[in-house]
Amino acid sequence: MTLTPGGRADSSAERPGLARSLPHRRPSGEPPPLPRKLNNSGKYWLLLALLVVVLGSFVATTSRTAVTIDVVDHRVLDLLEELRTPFLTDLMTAIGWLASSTALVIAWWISLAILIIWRRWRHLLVWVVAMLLVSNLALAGAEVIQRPRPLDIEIIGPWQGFAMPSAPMAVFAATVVNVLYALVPAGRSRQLGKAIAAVLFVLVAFSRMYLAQDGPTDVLFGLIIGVAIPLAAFRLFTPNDVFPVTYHRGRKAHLDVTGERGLAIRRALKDQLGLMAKDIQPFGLEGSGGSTPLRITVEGDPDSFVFCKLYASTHLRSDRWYKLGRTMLYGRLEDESAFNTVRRLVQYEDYLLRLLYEADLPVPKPYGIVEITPEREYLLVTQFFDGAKEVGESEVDDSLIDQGLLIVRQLWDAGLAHRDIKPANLLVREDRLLLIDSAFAEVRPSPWRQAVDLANMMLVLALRTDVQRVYSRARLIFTEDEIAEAFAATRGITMPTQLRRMMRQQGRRLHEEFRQLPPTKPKPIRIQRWSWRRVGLLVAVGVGVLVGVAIAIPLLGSPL
Amino acid sequence: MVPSRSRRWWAAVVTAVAVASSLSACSLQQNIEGIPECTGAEEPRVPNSALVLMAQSVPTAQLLPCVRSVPVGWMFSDLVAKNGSAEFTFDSDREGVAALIVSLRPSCSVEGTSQVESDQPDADRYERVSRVSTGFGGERIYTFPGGCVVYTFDLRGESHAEPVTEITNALGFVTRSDLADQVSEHSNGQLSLDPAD
Repeated sequence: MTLTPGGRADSSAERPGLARSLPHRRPSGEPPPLPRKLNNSGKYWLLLALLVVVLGSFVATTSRTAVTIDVVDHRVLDLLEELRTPFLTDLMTAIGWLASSTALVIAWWISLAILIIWRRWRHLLVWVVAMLLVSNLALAGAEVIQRPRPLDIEIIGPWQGFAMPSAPMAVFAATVVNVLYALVPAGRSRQLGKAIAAVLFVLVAFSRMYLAQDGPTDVLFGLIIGVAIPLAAFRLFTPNDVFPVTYHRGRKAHLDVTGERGLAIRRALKDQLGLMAKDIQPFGLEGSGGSTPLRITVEGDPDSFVFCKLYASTHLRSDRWYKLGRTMLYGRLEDESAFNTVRRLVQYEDYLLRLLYEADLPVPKPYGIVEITPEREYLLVTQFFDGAKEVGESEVDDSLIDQGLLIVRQLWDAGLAHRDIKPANLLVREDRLLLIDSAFAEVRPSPWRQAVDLANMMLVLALRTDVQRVYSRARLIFTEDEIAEAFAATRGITMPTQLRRMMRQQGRRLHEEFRQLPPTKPKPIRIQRWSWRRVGLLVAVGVGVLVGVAIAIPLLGSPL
Repeated sequence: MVPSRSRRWWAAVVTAVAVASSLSACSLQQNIEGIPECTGAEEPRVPNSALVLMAQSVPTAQLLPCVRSVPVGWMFSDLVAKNGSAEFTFDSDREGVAALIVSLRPSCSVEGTSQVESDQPDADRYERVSRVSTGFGGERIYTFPGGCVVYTFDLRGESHAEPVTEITNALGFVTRSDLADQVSEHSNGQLSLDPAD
């Protein structure tokens, strides 16, 4: 019997006919394809906030400035006092309630619930930090400036503390801006929201002046601080293109590739790889949790496709949390060191893909890395297997079984482990089995890890056939001891989630069936690894959770 | 090399922050704690902001509590003024945190107190002792037209009531009319403390 190894995936004359232009080096000082933008309005608001700080300092230090502002404010309030009627007073009191502690805490709780339900953690963090900055700056500013409430006029609304800047106005404005940027999707909805916000600001500001709780300058200063800080924070730390506010169900790891990011991807592909992208489409999102997979149509004769994986800092964090979780649950089973930067994560995957490709494995040809935003977003570009189907959706014959088993043998021989062998990562095209996704691959893995690759491959192949058949084909390439070791090493976490789910759906205990076949049945290999490091980590995480709860409880109160 | 637009923008921001910080540093030399000091005797007569705020919290009060000086070992800790009431707190290194709270209110109950001779003109004085076994606990109430002031003692040191004299001697009163004069003088007659009836 002869076995046909898979060999390189592009060994047949199927290399995409990519049309390439000359790459272009970005000159020093030129912004990257997708820079972080504060936008002009954000800059103006920040400048206004700085102006507030400077003016506030003048009010605090020079009594002439303070008196001048008092007199000007008094004139305005005098005019408003003349408008007072019982009806208008009731109306203004009702409007002023929007900036009260009760109203603000209700808005905060509702927003908090929405942010938690939609798992918008980054927006939540920016919200909390921006609100803490605004409330503390407003209160500290008031303590430093020490401006009393409006003089020479009857104050008919509730108040507390010094007046400048107006803390209720600042916190109310910050709440509205937070709602706009954390809860309202960008585009028409947010534009409409901004108009509503402007109306609310005017109404609440007018109410506070009508009731003489604050002078016009106090209200203005509070408004500027309350708008500028959250606006800058959200624009810098949760830009729409990277962290869009959407209410679609789906994995948070997937990034929106329309709009500015889509343009940036096109520009970056052209400049850095000389590829002219015509169309960008998300591809196979359901099978990917750690990146945003894309199929990009590239100009050529004829047009062809490339496959891309878009990585951002969110994916880096996902990787970090995933590895931390594994270390806590199982100890350091294998290399659980997290990547420090997105660049390194992508470089690692590109390097591993090139190793697999050099080892003549049937993997896509790597085309390189494209930088979208330095240290934040990168694109890994590879060959696209057009027309390929997942192995779980294909007819699996002896040839495919052999190809799958030979892939593992080739990995072993090359000193590599794939570490994520599952149906979604094994494609079939024209009777050839192809291996994709080198994100978890490892060089010089432990023998245990290599054994797990074999067991997972056999389980995947058995999903579409039967245990006995896969075992008998495997015996042609691997010894009984190797197969026995593979199933002694494999259980629980060592099997990819998709593989476990499919076995459950089929109601088959493939793993147990395989374990019964070899004549020698070694004891299961222990996957729990206890060390002082793991104990320390568990204790540290426990303490961290307690500290987090202790910090979070006061934050649940009114921001005012 | 021509600096980029963003670099020029950040340079402007840094300069503005530096200017603002230096001005803030000047302001910090002022009465940063918000102590309602008994001002008015010395020239120029600048109204104390904290005192004005207290006056605004109880617009009817004709007398306002103030601080002449903070004795050694005592610290002014906090002023809380809002519509309807105001209070400030003193901590002591021997008597503990919040050893004395001075509250200004529109009205006070003097039930269960004893009236004693008042050391403040235009104010009646009442005393109530609640604890002498460990430290000293009690209240001193001054009532006057339009309001009252309560000194709440919670001394936890070994000197029992001894520090009461020391700290109360550091406190005083300013009349509303005097404060109103200061506000008017300071604004060259353009503003007054209270609205005209």
